[in-house]
Amino acid sequence: MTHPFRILIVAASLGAGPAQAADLFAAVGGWIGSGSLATTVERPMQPARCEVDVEPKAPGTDVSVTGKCLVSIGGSDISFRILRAGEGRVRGAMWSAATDEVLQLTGSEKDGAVDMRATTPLVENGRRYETMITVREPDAESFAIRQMVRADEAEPWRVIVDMTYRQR
Amino acid sequence: MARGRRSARGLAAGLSFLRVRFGHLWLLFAALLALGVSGLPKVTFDNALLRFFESDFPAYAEFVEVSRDFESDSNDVILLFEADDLADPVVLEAASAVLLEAQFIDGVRAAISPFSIEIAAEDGRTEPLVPYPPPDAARMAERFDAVRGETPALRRLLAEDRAAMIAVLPLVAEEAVQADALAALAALVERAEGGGEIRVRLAGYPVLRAKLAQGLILDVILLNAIGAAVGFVVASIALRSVALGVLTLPGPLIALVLCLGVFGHLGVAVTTVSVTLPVLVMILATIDSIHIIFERTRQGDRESRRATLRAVRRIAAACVFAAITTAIAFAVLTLSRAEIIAELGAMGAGVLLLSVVMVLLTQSLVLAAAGRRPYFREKFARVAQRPPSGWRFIHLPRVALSQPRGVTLAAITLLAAALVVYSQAGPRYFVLDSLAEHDPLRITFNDVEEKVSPISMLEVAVRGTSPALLGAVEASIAEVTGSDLVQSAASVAGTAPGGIDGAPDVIAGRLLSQDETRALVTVPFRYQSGAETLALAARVDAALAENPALAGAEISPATGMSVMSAAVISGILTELNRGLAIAVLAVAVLIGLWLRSARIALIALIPNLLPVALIGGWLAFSGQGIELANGLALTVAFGVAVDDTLHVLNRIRLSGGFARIEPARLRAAMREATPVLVTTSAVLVLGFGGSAFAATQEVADFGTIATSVFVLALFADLLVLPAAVAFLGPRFYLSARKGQR
Repeated sequence: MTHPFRILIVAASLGAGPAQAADLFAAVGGWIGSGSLATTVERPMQPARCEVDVEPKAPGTDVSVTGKCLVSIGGSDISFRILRAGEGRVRGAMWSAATDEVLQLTGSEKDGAVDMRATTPLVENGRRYETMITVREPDAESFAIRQMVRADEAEPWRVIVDMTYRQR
Repeated sequence: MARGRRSARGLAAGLSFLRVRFGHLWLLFAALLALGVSGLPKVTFDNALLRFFESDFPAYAEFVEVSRDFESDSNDVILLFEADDLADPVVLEAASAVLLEAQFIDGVRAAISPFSIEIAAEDGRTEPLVPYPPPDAARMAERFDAVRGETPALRRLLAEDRAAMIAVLPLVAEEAVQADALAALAALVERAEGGGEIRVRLAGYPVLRAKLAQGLILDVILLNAIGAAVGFVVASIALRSVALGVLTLPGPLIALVLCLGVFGHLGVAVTTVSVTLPVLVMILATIDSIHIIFERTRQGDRESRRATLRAVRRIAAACVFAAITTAIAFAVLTLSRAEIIAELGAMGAGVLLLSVVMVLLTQSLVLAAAGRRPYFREKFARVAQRPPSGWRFIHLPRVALSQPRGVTLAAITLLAAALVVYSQAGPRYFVLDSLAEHDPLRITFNDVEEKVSPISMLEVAVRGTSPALLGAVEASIAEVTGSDLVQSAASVAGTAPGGIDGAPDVIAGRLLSQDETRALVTVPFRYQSGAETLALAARVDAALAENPALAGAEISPATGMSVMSAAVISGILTELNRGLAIAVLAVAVLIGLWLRSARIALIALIPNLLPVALIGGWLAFSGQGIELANGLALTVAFGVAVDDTLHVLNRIRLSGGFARIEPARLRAAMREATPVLVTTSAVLVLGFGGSAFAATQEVADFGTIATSVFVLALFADLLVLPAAVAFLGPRFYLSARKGQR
């Protein structure tokens, strides 16, 4: 008999990163994110939940975000830091316990919207991926973060994190 | 007989010495009270289910050996999800949200559920069994059915009709963290229920332990409050005075404080096994207190201290011997190979002996002080003028003494028949027996078993992890058990890339040892009885031994919590029966030494063995089997039931001894003893009857069995004992009766 499905239980491997509200650098306290994410670049999206604490390091210019993201099989601690570099430019770094890999980020901030690209490629199974992160404000009480990847410029961006955060 | 009197005189001499040192009695009283009170804050409660079985039985050693290598389910919370169809995407999203939120609770290590199962699709890539977003209900149902047909992993988690599924949430081991996690999970479940899409309930061993711990504390308060109230009410009715009823309270209450204080000082936790010990101490102290106050009312116009000490002196021997016989019943438990039973035996014997000293001391001081007041002297005199009648129970000794031969032979025949049936009783232990049948938690456990998968697990540890080896073990177990739920690392990982290596620790740790040299093969099964569980384990062991594909393989005997507990409980019950026999022998020896009569000692055993044999026989005959609580209750109740017999024998002794028992004197002794016996039995029966309201089912079972023994013991002491003394005792009785004709 041919088995139509093979069974595998996998560990979670998260690479998500939360961000800010209307003014990322003014956000503080506990935030809960709901949405979906892929546990690795090549896997399908799954329902997910994140809980993070936002702590300003330098008021208005430097903010640190630490917390945890979970899917049904497990989760990973995450850490995210972003700072204003002046003249509308932002820099940041993102880390997750699942990959234990730090992604350096750089980008711009305009009207509360942040767009950043990773300065180094994300490597998975020998493949190198370009990474983009966007932060938006769907309404006055929430912010949304999306992380997208693509293997080369010809490919469309593929969403691997899509979380909307609300204050706890 | 003369030597018996000498021992009583020795005790009397000691009490006379104390009379001149009355002030010292207060000091001793204060010291014992301080000991008890200072220990109260240190009292702890232990709900650990595994501790019941800590012993040197081989089954326990095998269980520990396997448990050391693999993660157990003892810290797993089970969430039972129910809906009309769990394939409905709305339902799935609601369940997924609950599980995601649950994993954020401190102490929750992971969630194992249908959502955590991944499948290898036709294109060879892996994907979650429940995709995101979920497909429509029909497609999801088809997906569930297909995977369910292929793997025991999903069959263990999802009901065939998709109306129920479980998620397993392993918690960290720390008790304080578990308590907070359970509270948070309960709140989460309540919120999820409010959503309306799904019904969610909590089960699992941590929930059971939390409930038992809460029940233990409630039981200690409830049972002791009922015991104290019953003792007071019954004493007030029997003495026809609330004021005299109040006088019976100090001794028992202080004995209770002392008992709990000793638990606290020694660092011995109160368990579901020992929770009845404090109430037993208080009830026995109440009985002693009632005996003393009845005797005090018979002391006429003597000066208060003298009257009190004389009353205590006349009763003390019976009280002390009664405490010793009950302590013997506990002391034999110290021989048990199970630590918790041995601990109960040592604590029981110790606190009972300590409490009899405390109650004699306290009641001496209280009655001596009260007797100085005219108000109480008048009350004592009124009881002496109109002693309690013993109600209709007074007719029982009359019946016995009119037909001593018939009553005795009937009792002996009944005893022999009951002992034969009792010897056929099998052991029973089921973890859920700690809960009442209609307890919501038990109903949830039952629903998990009936709707999804059994909770009792049979486990076999195999040296080696090759799929071929594990497959052969799985096949043998599946064949002999007829179950399609057998699982190992081989069937969980299948041929998926990376095998089990990619699984999270909480899952891999249940299937492979940490050094990855051993694998665990498991099969859930419905627990029916200890005997059937042991038989199932034996069949599995035999099937594995006979499988030629497994020749030379190193495979552990079948184990698991249910298998181990059935084997250990069986061993403990054998020990309890042996202990009961030793207690019977010891009590006979003690009575023989006290009364200097082997004949009376043997006669006294008939009314004391009869209640135990009848209840044990009933448990065997009705097919209920002997649970740990029942086995303990029978042994302990025997020791307690002997107390009343000793007071009857003491009354006969005080009325002239056993050398020459004339009918008139036996009748008079029974007339005097019956009201007190009825009163003290009412205290015992009603006091322990409160355990029917116990939050812990084992405590309720203990109380029910003990109460039944006490009721039968009263009838035996009033009917069988006088008949047996008359018929089998010194021949003077029958000849004297003939002479009277």
